[in-house]
Amino acid sequence: MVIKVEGVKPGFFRRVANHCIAIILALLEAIFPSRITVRYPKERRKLPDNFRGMLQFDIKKCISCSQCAFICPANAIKMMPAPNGKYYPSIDYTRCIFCHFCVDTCPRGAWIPTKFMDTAYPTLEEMFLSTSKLLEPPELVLREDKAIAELKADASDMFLVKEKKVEKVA
Amino acid sequence: MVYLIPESLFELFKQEMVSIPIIDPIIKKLLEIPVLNVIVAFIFWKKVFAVLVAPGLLTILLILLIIIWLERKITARVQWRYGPLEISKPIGGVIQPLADGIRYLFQEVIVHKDAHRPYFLQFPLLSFIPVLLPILVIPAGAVYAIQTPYAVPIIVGLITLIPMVIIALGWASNSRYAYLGVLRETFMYFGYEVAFIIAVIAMLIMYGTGDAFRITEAQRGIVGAVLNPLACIVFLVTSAMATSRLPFDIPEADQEVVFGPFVEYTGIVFGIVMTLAYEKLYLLGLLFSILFLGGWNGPYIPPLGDLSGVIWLLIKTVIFMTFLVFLRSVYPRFRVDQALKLGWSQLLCISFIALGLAIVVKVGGLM
Repeated sequence: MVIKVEGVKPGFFRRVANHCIAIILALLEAIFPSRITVRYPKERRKLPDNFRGMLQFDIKKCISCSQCAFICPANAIKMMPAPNGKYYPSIDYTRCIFCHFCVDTCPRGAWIPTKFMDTAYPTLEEMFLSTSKLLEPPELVLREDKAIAELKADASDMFLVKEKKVEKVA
Repeated sequence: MVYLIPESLFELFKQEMVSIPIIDPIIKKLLEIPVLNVIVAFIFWKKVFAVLVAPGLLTILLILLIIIWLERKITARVQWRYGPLEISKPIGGVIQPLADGIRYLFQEVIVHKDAHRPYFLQFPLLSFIPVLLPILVIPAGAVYAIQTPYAVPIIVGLITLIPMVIIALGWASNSRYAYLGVLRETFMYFGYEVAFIIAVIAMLIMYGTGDAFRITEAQRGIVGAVLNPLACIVFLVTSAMATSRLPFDIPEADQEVVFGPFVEYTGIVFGIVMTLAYEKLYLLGLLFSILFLGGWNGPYIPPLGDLSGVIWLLIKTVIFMTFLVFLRSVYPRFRVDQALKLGWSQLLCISFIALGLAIVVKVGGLM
């Protein structure tokens, strides 16, 4: 069976009306713009609470069970010996794929997820974070955002809601 | 003798000076300074003022800056973006085109091996002849260079020369994309030119003259766009085709032939050829305002004096130009054959009906 799809062929007045509607819509948009651009360094997208960012480590809760190192699919986590004889995890961010399996698998909740995602390291070697560096939140490049923006959508349209405040990421 | 010539010239200039009450005290002071007074009187001499300042060279530069910025800004706003903003943020990035121009100025001008070197560099400069000559016969109220009954035919004739320059510089580029662009430009040229000229002729028959002064005088009551709306529509669509604005962005189509005839140009020479379409748009805008929007008719503004008419003419021109560059954000691009079909069938038919309408109105004695 052959199904032939025919294009819509509007009449003359319908076409003129379509042109007018298109021009008026664009004109309205030009006068009252509804922009969705987030001007990134000056504004930031509002990140969801379950955002998988960089990790922070709570050494007091760790029981050195090595579950995080076992589960890590990218072999980014290595257990390193500490002066007190125990083994603690360290992260190689050249390998990390930010899957947060380590956070899920930790029996004591020693891994603390943060919303950091824009950190830069000058060299590859510095991307290997030992346990002592994981204790404090990672260093940000330079934070110059004054507002947070959130994309919201209802049944018909999508729009950007801006709020003048600085979001805490760690 | 050497001293006498400037003196007699000075008297000549002083007789026909543009009077702008708002800056009159400054000009009076300047006219007392010995050498400077001749230069000031020369610039403010009506004939020179029309060509150099308004609606001539200086206004073209200013309008180029504004219209390119407007095009980018309006398109960005319709597409939910910001557009140029980082340079001069408080005024919305108006001087962005100026920054781009300065960047072009300091860029290397590359003339590739296969190009016809003399023509390649000559034609961008020669393009100023058909762009600037029409200014001589375009009057703006009290400020004008030449008054002639053949003003509109001269303007149309010179405007139709501009595609020749584009074709020539595309030929001198000697490259595949330039060749394709030139071919498309030629097709478009054939597509719109006949309908465009017939629409202008319809208006000339309607007014019974080619003199811009008498044309604007005839539009004191009803403007030309209402007198002959069909000719107005044809003029509008054909000017979008003539200046390769979207939806007729065919010769310059960035995604298909990467700026077509101008593909090999770099540096400031590219800046010159890129603004060619906008300069043509400006001339067509002036012609459109004179033929259809009542030229410099408008309320007299006392502090501006002679400039009052110029301001009204420029406002109408900028509205026309803004509408045409605004179409970029509404329409997608036509194919070459679609545009040609439109030009040779619908537009030609409408222009002939407009011509008939004009003849009926003129012979019937309605005007």
